[in-house]
Amino acid sequence: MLSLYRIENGEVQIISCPPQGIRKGEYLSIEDTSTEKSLIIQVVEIDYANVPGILEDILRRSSIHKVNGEDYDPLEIKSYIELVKDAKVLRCKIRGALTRGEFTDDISWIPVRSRSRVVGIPDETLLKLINPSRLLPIQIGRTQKKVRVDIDAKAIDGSLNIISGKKGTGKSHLAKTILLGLIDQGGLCLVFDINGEYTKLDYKSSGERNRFQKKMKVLIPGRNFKVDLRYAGLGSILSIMRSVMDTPGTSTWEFRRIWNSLERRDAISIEEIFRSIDNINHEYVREALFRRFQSLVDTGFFCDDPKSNTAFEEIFAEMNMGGAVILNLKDLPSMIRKIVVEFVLSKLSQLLKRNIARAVFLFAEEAHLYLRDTYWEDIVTRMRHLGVFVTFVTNQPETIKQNVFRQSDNIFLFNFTNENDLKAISRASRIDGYTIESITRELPAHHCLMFGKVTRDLPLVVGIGRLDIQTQGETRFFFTPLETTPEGIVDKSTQNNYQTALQLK
Amino acid sequence: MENMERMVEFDIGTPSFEEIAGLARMSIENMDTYTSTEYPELPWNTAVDEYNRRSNAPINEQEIKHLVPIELRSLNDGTPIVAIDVSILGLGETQCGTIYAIRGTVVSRKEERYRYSRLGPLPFHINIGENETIKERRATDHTILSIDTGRRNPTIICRRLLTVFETMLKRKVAKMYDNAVLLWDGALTIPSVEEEIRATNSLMEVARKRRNSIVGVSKKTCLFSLQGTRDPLQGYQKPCLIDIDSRIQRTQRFLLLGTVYVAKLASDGLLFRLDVDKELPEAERIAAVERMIGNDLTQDGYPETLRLAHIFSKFNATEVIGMHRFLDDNYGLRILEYPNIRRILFGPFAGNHSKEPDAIYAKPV
Ligand SMILES: Nc1ncnc2c1ncn2[C@@H]1O[C@H](COP(=O)(O)OP(=O)(O)OP(=O)(O)O)[C@@H](O)[C@H]1O
Ligand SMILES: [Mg+2]
Repeated sequence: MLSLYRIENGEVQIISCPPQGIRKGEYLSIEDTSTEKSLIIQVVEIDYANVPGILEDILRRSSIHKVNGEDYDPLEIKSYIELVKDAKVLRCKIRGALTRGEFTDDISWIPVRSRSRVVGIPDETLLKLINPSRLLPIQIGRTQKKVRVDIDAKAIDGSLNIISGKKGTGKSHLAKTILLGLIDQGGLCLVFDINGEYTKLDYKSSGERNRFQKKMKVLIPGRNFKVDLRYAGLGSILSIMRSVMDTPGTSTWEFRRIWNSLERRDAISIEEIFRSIDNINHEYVREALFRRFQSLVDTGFFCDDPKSNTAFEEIFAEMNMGGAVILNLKDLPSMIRKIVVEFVLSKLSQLLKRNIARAVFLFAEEAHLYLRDTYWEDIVTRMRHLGVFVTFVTNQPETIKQNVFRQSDNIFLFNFTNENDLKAISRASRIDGYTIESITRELPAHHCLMFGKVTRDLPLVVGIGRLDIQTQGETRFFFTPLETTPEGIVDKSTQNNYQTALQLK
Repeated sequence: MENMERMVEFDIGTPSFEEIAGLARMSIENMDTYTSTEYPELPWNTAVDEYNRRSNAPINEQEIKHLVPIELRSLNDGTPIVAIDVSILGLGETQCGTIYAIRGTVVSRKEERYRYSRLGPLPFHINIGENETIKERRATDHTILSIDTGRRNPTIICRRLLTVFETMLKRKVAKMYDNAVLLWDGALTIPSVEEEIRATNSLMEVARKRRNSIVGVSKKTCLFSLQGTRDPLQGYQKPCLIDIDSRIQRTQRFLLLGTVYVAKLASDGLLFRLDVDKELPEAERIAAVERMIGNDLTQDGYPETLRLAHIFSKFNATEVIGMHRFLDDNYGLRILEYPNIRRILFGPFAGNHSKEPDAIYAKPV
């Protein structure tokens, strides 16, 4: 039975006796039987009830632990006593209220203890509250009680999302789930794939192709992803030179002059640019530009052949029914990674400004490895207005700037154990740090605590479903389980025979 | 009361534990059927009470000093030591009485090992009657009117209940062991109620027949006051006894079943009062104490078996709450007024002999 014990400093304490196996993260409602109101509360911590005499009892037992014997308890009272000993206090946070079935934020009233009834909220009811429309569902997993959880693609649309958690907890897996869900709903996505683990999303784990076959485009910079200098445009190249290559002001100014004059003659090519640089009188500027342009060319990413050019407009046009461009940044030197990202982001802005695409969902894994500092700000402000909706995925939450965290719309947190990580998140999130610390610390593998627009701000623990896709690049271990099969030894980490989550649709 | 009547119908020395358990169950199930017609006043011999209560020392302290202590050996001969303790606690008041819980434990030490058998808890309902409905009934029912149950001290009934239970336990133990030392809690006094005297006598007989020695251990003695006096056994490094039996007033000695000693059982231990079965020859009485020392003793000189029996019997707060739940779930007894658990356990009748329950129960209509 659940009973209201007390309300103190915004925390509601419920006594559960006998204990009912309620878990952290579950929702309860305190129904006021005289009005049609109820408070919605969430269990954030479970303690033993401070039953008087427990300490005495334990001390007593510890002094007699070596004594064997039997109890003759004909009325079977012992079980009642054990129940009391096991009584739990559920520490809960108030998350909202229901007035005649309508969800409200009005939690200014306090239920009367004698007239209130505490009951668990069935997951189905809760999910209906969270996502009433179910217009564009993306199935991501199940609640702790195994009720299917869909998030509304609309709640991701226009949003800034953060997926974080410690290593190997399933962050990328969730990102992929959301990504595939968005594609199914017709969304256009772009992935900064630092580990090259999104490259086989169009294959089932069995190796067959799946329904995303025509919707994925994996770009490998320097190989199937090259840009013609003219397509890149002066703006992109200048910003790369400035921010990635630390080119001094005078030199960039000189580069601009060269570019403009070549452009007027319609003579932009790598060779011509080199020649122009060579003609610069000022030795210092000449040297500076030469070295930098050489590096740029050495990346193999830029070319002056329109036929080799990768035009985003064209890729996007093919993906008008939904699709994803996977930018495989795996094994690239840090500088090239930065150059490519810089180019892609500036190109993306241009295209969105020109309405070539309506909006792009950008998935950025460990963005601090390639995103320059000034872009963070830009992403949550200017680019967002243009229609770039970013999902940051990281196991180092402190690398995400505080204001990015604060402006985020949805947060998905997997297990954290590191105090600093927990603090970084608690400080910046919209829900209280206590809830975050208490729940995420104990999340099992592949479970996350999500909150924000996707849950109408009700923090929800979800077990993320499996995906029938080929995965690679995820957390690598030295010791991976090896299994002997008739064909020999199979490395399990590359073999995935998960049931599909998305195929259920 | 009604159940007390039933209880009295048993030969006080013979009810089995099953019968007591049955009685407990019945006492609660029938608690609202107020059918008893007779309330015989229990013949309570106030002499014993009086005797126990007197704090002014009946023995002259100076006299003790002149008595020669008997030095004791430690006889580790494998004699089983068996201690018995019981506990009673008021759980709450009902419309027509009180619910008490009792529990008893037997702890034995045999072959260097301790074992316990614990009986209970058993809740009992005792009709005492002090409320309006009962008063009304009393006014119309002459038989009830004739006895003023309301003013009777419930302590007496409690004590009776406990005695029946304790006697039953002691009897079981006495029958189970041979050549053992049986430790009882408190002095070996003659009970005041006729049936109890009979029961106790027969109990002692059973014990003696099987060559068991009965030793009553009192943690506190009011035979004499040690305050301001030096420990009469100070300076004695070995365990020793002083036989003070001869110094006890004749009228009081008449009420005792044992020979009374002051004992120090460990070199820096506390003083206890020991009552050893009077019927044993002196050498056997002393041997009984020596066997107790040799086979079961803690450092502070208090027998471990008895310490454990106390611990196992005593109720704590969790158990009180658990029993409240039991009464609620099985008999629909709701607590109307929440008891202060601390008061139940540590109140004026602390030590788990509370006779004054705080919980008020009611059976929902
Ligand atoms: N919901 C899930 N169901 C089944 N398997 C999962 C699930 N989530 C993740 N996995 C598997 O667990 C492993 C780790 O997952 P994933 O790579 O997503 O973790 P991560 O948090 O991104 O790790 P890293 O910190 O290394 O990036 C992978 O093998 C993945 O396939
Ligand atoms: Mg990952």
